[in-house]
Amino acid sequence: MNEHHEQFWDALISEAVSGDKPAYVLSRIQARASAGAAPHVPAQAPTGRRAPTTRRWKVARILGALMLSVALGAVSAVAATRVIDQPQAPATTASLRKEVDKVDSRIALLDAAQKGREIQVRTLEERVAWLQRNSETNVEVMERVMRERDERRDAQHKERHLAFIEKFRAREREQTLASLDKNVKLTAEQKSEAGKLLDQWVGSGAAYISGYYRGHRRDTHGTREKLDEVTAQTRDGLRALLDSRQQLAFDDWIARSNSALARGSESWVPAAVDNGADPFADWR
Amino acid sequence: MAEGRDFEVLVRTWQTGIWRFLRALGCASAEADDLTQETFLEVLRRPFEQRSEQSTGAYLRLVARHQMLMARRKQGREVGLAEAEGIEERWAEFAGQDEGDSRVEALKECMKSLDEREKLALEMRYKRDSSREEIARALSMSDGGAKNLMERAREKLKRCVELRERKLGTGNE
Repeated sequence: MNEHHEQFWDALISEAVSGDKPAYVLSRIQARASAGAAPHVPAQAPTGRRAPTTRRWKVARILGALMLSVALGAVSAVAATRVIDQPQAPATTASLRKEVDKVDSRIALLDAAQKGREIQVRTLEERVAWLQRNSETNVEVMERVMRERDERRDAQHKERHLAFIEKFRAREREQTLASLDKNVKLTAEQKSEAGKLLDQWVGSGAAYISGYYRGHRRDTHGTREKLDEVTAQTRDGLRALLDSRQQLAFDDWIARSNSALARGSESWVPAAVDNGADPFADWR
Repeated sequence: MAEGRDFEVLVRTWQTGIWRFLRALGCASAEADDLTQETFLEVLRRPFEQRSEQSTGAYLRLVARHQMLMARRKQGREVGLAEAEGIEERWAEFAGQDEGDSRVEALKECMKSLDEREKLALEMRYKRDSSREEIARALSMSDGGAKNLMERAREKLKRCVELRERKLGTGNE
């Protein structure tokens, strides 16, 4: 890596931006060469400024004239004054040119400031548009976050409910069969058939709950009806297994019981899911 | 050599390259014009044998640098990069065979890719010779902001030129 690259780039960028070009020097070189020891002809800058060597030559002439005027005394002072006066005309022109340059420079600065303000207004307009777009995006982000939160909560609810159903089906089958046997006095054959019916009942109930979560539109009312229906069918099936004396005892047991077989669909809903945010609230 | 037609060809061929080299050493445009003229006058006074383009370029840059050193010392000004050892070779390596022509052209094209603020800042700096304070005022920003803006713009231009050179396979470095 070249250690002077920055300066080199700066020079090229300056040339590209300013549009400066080298002055055409060939004719001047030839003129100076053919003049031999002729005074130095400075290159004219593209902007029309006088090169530093011109200024030095002028200063030398003025100083020479001053020295001559001192040496010649009062009489030659008039002549010397003329010599001094001669460069004053270009000096006045130069100062006027300097003033014009200053005014030009001030106008250029004002132009630049005006352009700067226009750019600033445009930048602010773009910023406002960006902020408007950004605020819309924020609303969308908020909606997405809320949607994701609801989905998360729903998934947790489903998980807890299905876990509850798994426990429920095992517990309810055993408790119901035990309570039925105790109150109705089942024979071994009746107990085996009753067990099968109860297995079907809790199996169907769990399937309805799982189906409820799989559905695109969750049908709370339809699921409740199915659960009530399968419960009623199970009750009828169990009753049909019994003789007339046992059926009286069964009816009495169902009337007094708080079991799921007696209460229907409400028992299939967990007591409290997600701190009361229970989508099955309308079941109760 | 350096007589008549040969000398004309020499000046036409190398004038821009020598002027650009002097600008790279830190000369202002008018000073570079003066010193380019002095360089060729020196060559006219003391002819040399042109063996190859490379050696001619190297010799002319050496003379130009010497002219700059002499002029600056006479004026009691800082000599800047002219005193750096081997600066001619470094410039030749940087500028490439076309003496920086393609890079200047590429820079002019790349200027189009700058945004308005960056263009304005560079134009004020290089065209109008405005101070950083003036640029900052015109763009309603702090001095530091103007400095950063110009540095960013310069970096953008360099990257743009280097990318173009890579695409064309004309990189000089």
